[in-house]
Amino acid sequence: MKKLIFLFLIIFVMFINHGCGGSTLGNTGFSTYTDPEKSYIDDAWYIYNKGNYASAKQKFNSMLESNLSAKQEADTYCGLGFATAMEEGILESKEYFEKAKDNNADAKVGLAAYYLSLADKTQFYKGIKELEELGIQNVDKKYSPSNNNDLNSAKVHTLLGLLYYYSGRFNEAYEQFNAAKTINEPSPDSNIKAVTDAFISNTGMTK
Amino acid sequence: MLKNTLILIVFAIIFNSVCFAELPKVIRLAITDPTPNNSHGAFLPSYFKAGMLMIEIEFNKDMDNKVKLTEKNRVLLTFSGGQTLPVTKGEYITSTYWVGAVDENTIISNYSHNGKIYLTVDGAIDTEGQKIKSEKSAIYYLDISPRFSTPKIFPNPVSPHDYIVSVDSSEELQAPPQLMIRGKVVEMKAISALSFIGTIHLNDDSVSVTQLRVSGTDLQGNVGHWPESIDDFPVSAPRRVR
Repeated sequence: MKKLIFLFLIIFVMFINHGCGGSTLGNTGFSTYTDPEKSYIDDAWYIYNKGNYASAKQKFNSMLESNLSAKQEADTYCGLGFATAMEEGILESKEYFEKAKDNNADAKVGLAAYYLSLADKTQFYKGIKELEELGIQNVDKKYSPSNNNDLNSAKVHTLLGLLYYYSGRFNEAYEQFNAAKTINEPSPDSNIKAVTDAFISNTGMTK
Repeated sequence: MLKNTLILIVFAIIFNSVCFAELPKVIRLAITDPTPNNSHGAFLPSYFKAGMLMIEIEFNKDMDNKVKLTEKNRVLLTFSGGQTLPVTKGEYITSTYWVGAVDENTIISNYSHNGKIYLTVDGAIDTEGQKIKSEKSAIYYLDISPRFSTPKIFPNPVSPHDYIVSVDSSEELQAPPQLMIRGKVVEMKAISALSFIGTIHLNDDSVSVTQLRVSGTDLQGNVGHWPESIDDFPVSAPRRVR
């Protein structure tokens, strides 16, 4: 009887995976999805993570011709934003992040990064607003990316710290840099550590 | 009678040489700026740029050139904040004329702001072994070219190929400084009166601060650079400024 139930379960799982909505084997080669658009977006992120930003852009762009849900469209524009940032510079990414930000947290982070790189003191508050809407001002806030990219809590807190710092809000900047340093990330980024250390020293404050 | 007169004359000569001998003194003490095109000097008396300071001292008597004025703080610059800087380069060009120099790097390492300065001379000795009375110059206005902090360059935390460069200036500039990295110009913007940032997209995983060059012009038209590269003023070939 137990064997029969086990067999039934295996057949049921196979049916779920292959029987509904068709099967799309992504470029990853090791996962299957029920939603072809989602799979396509994930494939584009996979290409992005391999460093092939031009191909990733092409793939994200071709997605826009599909019939996408609002969430999928946001994911696609967000991907376009980050791929464009890596290939041409984040100053070219603004319109993509703008289109995605209402349905994609990563796009809000991307837009905040755009405002930092814009290096315009009259615009930093806009980047701060995007991150504060995600609750990043809370130093305990852990950030998980909405897409398959390498955003993490340390990067996002550092970004907010820099925006605060260049806005002259040194106390808040100091808190964010410390949060970025102390937050537990699986693979700490040496660049982030160097930036936070340098700016903590710049704020003239010590723990 | 004649004998008494002679005694009186000899006595008068001795008395005069002992009591009224001419003491050594400074008859001219000047800081001059041999930098060309010092147009501000036409509008502000005693104004000079601090690229190269030439110090001239003229004495009324032959001086003992074995007594080095470059030692024991004998020639001393005093800044408005009270800091002092001994002049350690200089020599007697003639027995009555001494020229010294201070290069800008030496000044900057001691004092990094525009402000008033004056010069004092003390301890010079003439060939008869007589010491001068301490002499103080007029007040001068020192206009140092702008200094720049070592620039910071770091990647945007979420866009690693977009580098952010920040630099601070020691004084207000006519415009944000020009920053170049590997021959590319980075547009800098003012964050405050003395702080500037700019961004540049580079398809590199790492960029070193040693690849940066910064230059900017202060409100008086002095140009400063980072890194600094100012040659010492050639003391051995002074130019006398009248």
